[in-house]
Amino acid sequence: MQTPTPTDAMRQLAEQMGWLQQFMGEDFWNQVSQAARPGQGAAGARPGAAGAPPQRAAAGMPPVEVYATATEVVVTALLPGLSGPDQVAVSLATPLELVIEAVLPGPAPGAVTLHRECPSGYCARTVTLPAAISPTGVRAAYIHGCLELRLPRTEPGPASHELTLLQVPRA
Amino acid sequence: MNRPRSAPPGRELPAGPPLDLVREGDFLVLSIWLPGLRPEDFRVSLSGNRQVTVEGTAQYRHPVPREQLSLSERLYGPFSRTLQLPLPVDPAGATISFNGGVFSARLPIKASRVALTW
Repeated sequence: MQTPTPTDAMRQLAEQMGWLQQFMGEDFWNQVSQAARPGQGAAGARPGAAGAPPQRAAAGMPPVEVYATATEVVVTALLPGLSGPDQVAVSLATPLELVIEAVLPGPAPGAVTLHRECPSGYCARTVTLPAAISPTGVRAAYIHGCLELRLPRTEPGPASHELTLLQVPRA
Repeated sequence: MNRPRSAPPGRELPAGPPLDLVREGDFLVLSIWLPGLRPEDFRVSLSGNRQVTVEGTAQYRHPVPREQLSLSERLYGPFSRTLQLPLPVDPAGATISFNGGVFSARLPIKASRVALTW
């Protein structure tokens, strides 16, 4: 039997990598390289929204900002790169718990990844709200990659962290 | 704004935005996440034909004071980040877009391919 040359070994390895990608899907090597990076570990595969193929959840996504006015709670979620409302789902687990799910687009099929930091695929975030809200009459806008949700409060109340002076009674 | 993480109000952590670099045929495609920024808030420059720099300022634009946010996970303030490209590109042939908070530059590779004999 002939001893394999380094060229043979590389060709064999390339063939095996090709089979693996064919078997595991186009995004397999991207997922392997991402999983190897600290701080971006897999948070468990879940089915993507709107019929998207199952993908790894992007941990900590999306970052959010929340404030309350007297009549509504405003939640802004950073979700860059979305192309339409079908890539986002918003649910109310309880009147104080909002769940935002999204599917973040990744690199175009066929592109070779040279450097990757932007999360892609399914992500979900549960946000505890500062006031109870009603699931009806919610307004949404997507501006510069931010999803802004304006959620009507069930009962009007003080704005978040509103300052109240506690007066010391005079003697 | 580099990674989703909490920053206490008032503490500015200038950091670069996350970015992706892919090769699509004879093009390098650079994508930079800049959600919440307007085109006037940042600029991307190419120094020579190998070095990309993105710099700008993430402005606070909510109508309430920052102390009034009950949850704040964005970082505000100036940022700057430089990336060395693995191959030289032709700046004159670049195609730029900025949609949904993602800056994208499609840069034609300016390098001669070497024919290999196996």
